[in-house]
Amino acid sequence: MIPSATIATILAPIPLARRAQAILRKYGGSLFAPSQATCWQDSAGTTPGAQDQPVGKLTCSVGSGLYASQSSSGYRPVLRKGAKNWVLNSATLATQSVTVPNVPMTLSIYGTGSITLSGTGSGTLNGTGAGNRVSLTFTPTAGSCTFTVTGSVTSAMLETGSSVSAYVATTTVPLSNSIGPWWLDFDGSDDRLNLSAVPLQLSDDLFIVSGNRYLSGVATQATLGIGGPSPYPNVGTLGYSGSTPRVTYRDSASGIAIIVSDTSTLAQAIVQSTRKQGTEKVLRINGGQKGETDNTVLGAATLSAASIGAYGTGGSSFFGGAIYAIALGKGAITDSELKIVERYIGQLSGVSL
Amino acid sequence: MIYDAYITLAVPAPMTETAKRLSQAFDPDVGGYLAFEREATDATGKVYAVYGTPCESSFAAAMAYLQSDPQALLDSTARDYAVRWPDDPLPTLAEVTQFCADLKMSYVYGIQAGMEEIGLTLIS
Repeated sequence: MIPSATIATILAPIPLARRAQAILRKYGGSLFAPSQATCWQDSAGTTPGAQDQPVGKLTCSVGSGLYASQSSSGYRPVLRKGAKNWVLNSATLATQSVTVPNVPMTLSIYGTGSITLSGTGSGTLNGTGAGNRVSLTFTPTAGSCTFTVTGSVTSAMLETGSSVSAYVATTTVPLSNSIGPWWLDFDGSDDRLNLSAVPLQLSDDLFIVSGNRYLSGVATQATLGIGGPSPYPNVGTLGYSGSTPRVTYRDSASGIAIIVSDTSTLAQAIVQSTRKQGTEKVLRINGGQKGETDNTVLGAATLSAASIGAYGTGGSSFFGGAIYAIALGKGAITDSELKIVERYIGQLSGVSL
Repeated sequence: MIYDAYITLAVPAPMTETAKRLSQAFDPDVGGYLAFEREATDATGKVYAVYGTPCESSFAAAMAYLQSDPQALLDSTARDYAVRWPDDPLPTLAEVTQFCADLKMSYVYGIQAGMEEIGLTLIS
């Protein structure tokens, strides 16, 4: 007789991660899920990745052999885990300015002193005691916000969003608190990782799923760009126009398909995906279709490069914010399979689908 | 290697090639020459090539010293080129001296904050 515990094990659902990874392998896909296990500090992949350190190489988690790398130190995103504390020397805070995005942010402090915001933010946060944590949520405009400290302010934390997270002490650079998903912190100015090969062509049936959170950046950003030089053909470029998610497909002539979501997702983690089967192209956000199905017939495209965090050729459309994971594959993925991949990317992104 | 500092560098656009050659030596990875590919302007419209990078605090301190001593900067660059880039041309002492004279630096965290401190705005 088979022990009941064994039967339970046999009948237990296969973990979502295994199901999603099996689907990705079925479609010859790739999964980029940053963590200390998949990241390296240098582009050659010799120094293991570390939390709050720049990433020079990100390897695929499902064995496709594809990787993303950046050989120039200044163009690297930073590996984070959980909430990031934006203020420096936070143990005993001194007056300082921080360049902030135009999103809700929360400042929390201990102590009896106070902080007055100026520049791109406004408001005052008064401490109530050495053992009491108080907070202020505000929405600055993008740019330099000055935090003027009066009296004793300790264990200060400035984070995006409207809630207070576990405190993490900083000194000379921002740090993350280790509580929450892994993510890559792109600065919206020039950070990007370049893929080792072009994984998809415009003629392919395909799918791309990106878990990300947009904070700032240029007018149009790409979380994953696969493209070529002028006139900038590209395939399934998942990104944003302003703070609105969108996807673009463009051939090497004049054919272009752009699908834009009807809602802004500024500062919210989302799962953004696109699927192309034949001429049918769709954009999905958090598991549901957004915008109309696009059936534009596109011509040929010469695609020469692919990047995470920028347009394919790497020199534009820099994304500012968090990228939690990106999955892609080639072939006619079914609805149920795509939903599993989306749920898994959601799991990696802290988004429940 | 622990990156515990940040440095933003800006030089007038005509100095871009010199900056890229020096960056090739500064960068511990192989992509240093790819630096200084973005441009910014000051209040007068003068165009600068800019680059911001996380770094070790020791490097940030060294840059402050090397800016004051172009010969030392060139010697340091030559030592790295001899090992890693023996076939690539070194900048001249005159080019390095001009680079040091024109270089603007910020040590605040992040390229956007750095450029704001220097007084520049990204244009490309």
